[in-house]
Amino acid sequence: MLRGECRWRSKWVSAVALAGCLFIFLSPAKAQTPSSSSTAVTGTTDWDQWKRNCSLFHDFGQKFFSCATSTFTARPFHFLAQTVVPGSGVGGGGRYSVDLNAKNGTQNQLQATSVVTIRGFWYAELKFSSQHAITADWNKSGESLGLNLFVRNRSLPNLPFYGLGSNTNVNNAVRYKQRDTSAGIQVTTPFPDVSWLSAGGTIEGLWPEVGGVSATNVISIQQEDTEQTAPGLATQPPFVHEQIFLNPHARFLTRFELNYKVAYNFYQDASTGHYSFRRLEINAEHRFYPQKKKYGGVIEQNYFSVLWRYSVSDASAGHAVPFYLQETIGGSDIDNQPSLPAFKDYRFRGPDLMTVQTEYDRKICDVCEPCKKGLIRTVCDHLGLVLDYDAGKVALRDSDLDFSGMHQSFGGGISIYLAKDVVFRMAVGLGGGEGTHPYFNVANFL
Amino acid sequence: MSAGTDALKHIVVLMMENRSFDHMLGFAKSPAWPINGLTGSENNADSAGGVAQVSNDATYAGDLTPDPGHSGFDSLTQLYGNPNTPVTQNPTMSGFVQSYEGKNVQPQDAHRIMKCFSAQNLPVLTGLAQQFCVCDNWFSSLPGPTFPNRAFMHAATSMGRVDMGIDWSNLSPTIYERLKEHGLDSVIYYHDSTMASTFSGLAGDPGYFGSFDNDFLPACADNDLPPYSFLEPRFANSAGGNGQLAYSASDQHPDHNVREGEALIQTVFKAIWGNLKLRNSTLLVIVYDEHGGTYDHAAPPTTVSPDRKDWTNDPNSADRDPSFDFTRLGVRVPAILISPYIPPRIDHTLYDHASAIATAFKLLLPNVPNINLTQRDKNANTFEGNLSLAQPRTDNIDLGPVIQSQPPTAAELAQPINDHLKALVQQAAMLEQKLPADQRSGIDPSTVQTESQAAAYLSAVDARIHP
Repeated sequence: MLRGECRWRSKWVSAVALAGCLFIFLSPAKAQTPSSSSTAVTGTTDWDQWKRNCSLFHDFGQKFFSCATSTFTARPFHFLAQTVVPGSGVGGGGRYSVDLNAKNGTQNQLQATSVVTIRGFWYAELKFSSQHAITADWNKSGESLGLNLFVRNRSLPNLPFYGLGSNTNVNNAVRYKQRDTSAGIQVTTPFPDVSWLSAGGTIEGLWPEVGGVSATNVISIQQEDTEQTAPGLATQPPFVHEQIFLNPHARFLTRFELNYKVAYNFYQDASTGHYSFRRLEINAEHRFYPQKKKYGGVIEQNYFSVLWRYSVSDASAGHAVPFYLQETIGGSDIDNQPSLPAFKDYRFRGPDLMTVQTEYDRKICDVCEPCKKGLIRTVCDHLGLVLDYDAGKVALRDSDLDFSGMHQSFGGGISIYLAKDVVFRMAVGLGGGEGTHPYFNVANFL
Repeated sequence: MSAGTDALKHIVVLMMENRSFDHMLGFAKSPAWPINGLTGSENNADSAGGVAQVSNDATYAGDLTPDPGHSGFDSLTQLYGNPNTPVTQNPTMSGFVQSYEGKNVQPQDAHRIMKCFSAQNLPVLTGLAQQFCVCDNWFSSLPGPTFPNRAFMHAATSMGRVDMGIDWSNLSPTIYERLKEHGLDSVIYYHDSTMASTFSGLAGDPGYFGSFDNDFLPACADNDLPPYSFLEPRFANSAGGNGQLAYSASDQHPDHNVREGEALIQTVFKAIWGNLKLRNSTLLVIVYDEHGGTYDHAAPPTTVSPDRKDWTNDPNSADRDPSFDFTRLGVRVPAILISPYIPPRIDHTLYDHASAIATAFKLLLPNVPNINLTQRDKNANTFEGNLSLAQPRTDNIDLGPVIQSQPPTAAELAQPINDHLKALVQQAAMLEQKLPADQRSGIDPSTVQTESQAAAYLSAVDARIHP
C-alpha cells in the first residue's frame, strides 16, 4: 500500500488535473540550472526561500515550479494538497511543524495541520510527537520509545450509508453527516530482549456526532433508517477508547518482511454503556521484495504484498456496535485504508471484517547510469505500476467470517514517483460487479 | 599466510575525519597498554610566551570552533613552526598553538588545540583499540587537508595536489578500478556524500556506490559484502522532515559531536561482528583521514613520492600552501585493525593510507605481480601479519554501554558549514551541473549556509546522481 496515503474518489477531471499539477509541481525536470537567476533558492530560512521563489514581480513563469516546490515543502509552514476522508473531494490546507529536539536522545515535534476540501469536509489536528532513544541493553531492536499526544476534529458533512452486512444494494444509499472530536495519547515501545516485537497502547476520548443530511437530491439516513438498521443513529455518547497492541515485525532472508499488529480495543460508552463493545483487530502484512541490489539491500520500490485483515467486535447482550464505528470495505475506509477498490467507498459495513489484499508494486524503469536521457526516460523515471487483487467480506456475526461468498476486486494503475517516494497514484478497480471504479491516492506529506 | 588471511574474504575500511592519534588515544597510554602516546608533559608555545600543555579534558563538541587549520600551510606550520621549513628537516611538532592562533584565536584560547580525550570518554574507539590491534605509527599520507589525504586512501596518490579543490575526476586508477580489472568488486558505502562521486573512473557505474543504511547494513546481515568496502561517515547535521528522522553528523570533523562518531563506529563493528560468518571472514580497518589541526607529538617521517608529481606554490595566487614534493608524511592518526584472528596488540610498524591499499592487494589478489597503483603503495608496509591467530576469537568484546545516535539540536543545525562541508556542497553542485538541466535540484548551492541546508542540498543532489 502507498505509505501514509490519503485517498479520495472524485470526478476524473479534477483528479487528473490534480495529478498533472502534482507531477508538474514536483518534477525535477522543471528545475532550472543552479546558476540561473530564476533558480529555487535556499536562503537563510525556508520562508526567505519561499519569498524569493514566489516573488510575482518578474519571471513568474520561470519561477512557477520552484515556487510550487517551496510552497509544498517549506518549513516550518507549508501548504498541503490532501483530502480528509474518502469521498470528501480535493482539498488543501497547511501544516505548521516545529522541531524541538533535545540533546538527550529525544526528537520532539509539534505539528498543527488543517485541511478543507471543496465539498466542505474539514480536518484539524494538533499533535506533539516524541521519539526517545533507549540505550539500555534490553533494547535489542534499537527502536525508540514513541509518544504521541493529539487533539483532532473533523467534519464530514456528507457520507454514504448502504446499510449493514454483506448483501446490501448499491442503489439504496442514504446520506449522513458525522463530526468527531478525539483527544488522546499513544505510546509505543520496543519489547525487552527481542528485536522483532514492539508494544504499545492508546487511550483517547471520542466525541462523535451523527445526523441526517438536508441537501437536495439525496436521501437522508433519518428518512430510511432507524436505530435498528443503523445502531447509534439515535444518540451518540462520548466514548473512552483504550487499545493495547503488539507489533511483531521482522525482516529475514533479506527479501522477506513481516509486519503484524494485534490490537485489543475497548470502546466504553461513557454515558449509558449501551454502545460499549470490544474489538480484536489483526493486521498481518507480508512483503516480498524480488529485486535485491548486489552487495546491498532490496529495491524497496519493487514488492509483492499480502495483507490479511481480521476484525471482530463483541458487544454484550442488549448492547450494540454503533454503525459509525463499524468496519467497512470498498474503496477505502474512513481511516484511508484501501480495501476492495472495485467497490465504492464504505460500500459494505459491519461489526466484523476479514479481507485478503494482495498488491504488486514496482517502479517501471530500473535505475540506469549512464543511460540515454530523453523524454521517454524522464517519464519512465517517474512512473510505477501497481496491480492489486483483494477479496473480503463484512459480517454481522463473527461466525459468518469465512472464505465463502467473499467480494472480490482486481485492478491496476500507475504511480508517480518523486525520487524513491510515491507521491500520487491513479488506478482502476474492476470485478466487483458494480462497474468500474477509478481511485486516486496522494501521499500525505504533500 | 595464516588461518586469518586464508579465511579472509572482505576488507572494510571506515575512514573518519580530522583527529590525530594523540588527540583521540594518546592519554590511554599506560604500563599495561604501552602505546606511543602521551606522558602529559608535551607542550607547545603560544605567541605571547605562554606554554600550552596537553590535557585530557577534550569535550565531544565545543572545543574546536573555529575549525583548526589543516591545509598544507597550516599542517607545515604545526610540524615546524615555520611552514616554509624544508620538509627534509625533522619536524618539531611545535606549531599547533601558533597555527590555531592564525584562525583569529587569542593565544590563551588557542591552547584548546592541545586538549585530548581521556580513555573513558571514548569507550568505543579505545575499547576496540585495546581489544584488537592499534597501529600507533600510522600517519596521514601528506601534511594537508581532507581531500588529498582521502585521495591517497582511494588511489595511493593525490596526483600532486594538496588543495581542497573539488574536482577529483582525474584521480585514476583507484583501488576500485584495479580490483575490477582483476574481477573483484568493491563498493563505497556513504551516508550523505562521497568525494568518490567525482572520480571519472567510477562515475559511470552505479555498482561502485551504496547507501550505508540501505545497502551496507543489509549486506552485512546477509553476508553479502563485496571483497572491498569503503565506508564514509555522515558529514552534515540533517534536520530530517517529511517523515525522515533528523541525523547528526558522525564524521567527528571539528566541531561535530565526537560521540556521534563513536555511535557510528559501534554500529559498523556490531554489523560485522553480529554475523558470525561475516565476522570470521572480514578485516575491519578504522582510520582517520588526517589530524584536522589537533595535536600529536610524533614527528611524521619521510616517505617516497608516489608519482613524482609535486605541488608548486604560485606566488601570485592567494594560495599559501608551500611547494611540496610528497616525501614527508602527515600527522599521525588513529588506526585500528579488527578481526577475530587478531589478538589484542600494539603494532608499531610505520603505515600510511597507502598501506591499506597495499594490504588489500596482497590479501585479495595475492598472485598478481606489480599490481601497485603508485610508488607509495608499492613501498608501503602491509599489516596482514596481525591476523596471527590460528583460530578465530570467541571472547566477548566489551565496548561499554550502547551509544545511541542523537538528533542534532537547533543550534547544531543552524551552525555555519565548515570548509570541508562547503567543499562537499560545491562538489555536489559540480556533479549536478553535469546532469541535463531538467534533472537538477533547482537549489542554488551558493546560498547554502548552514548544516541543515547543506544536508538537504546533498540529499537532493544525491537522489539525482545516485537514484
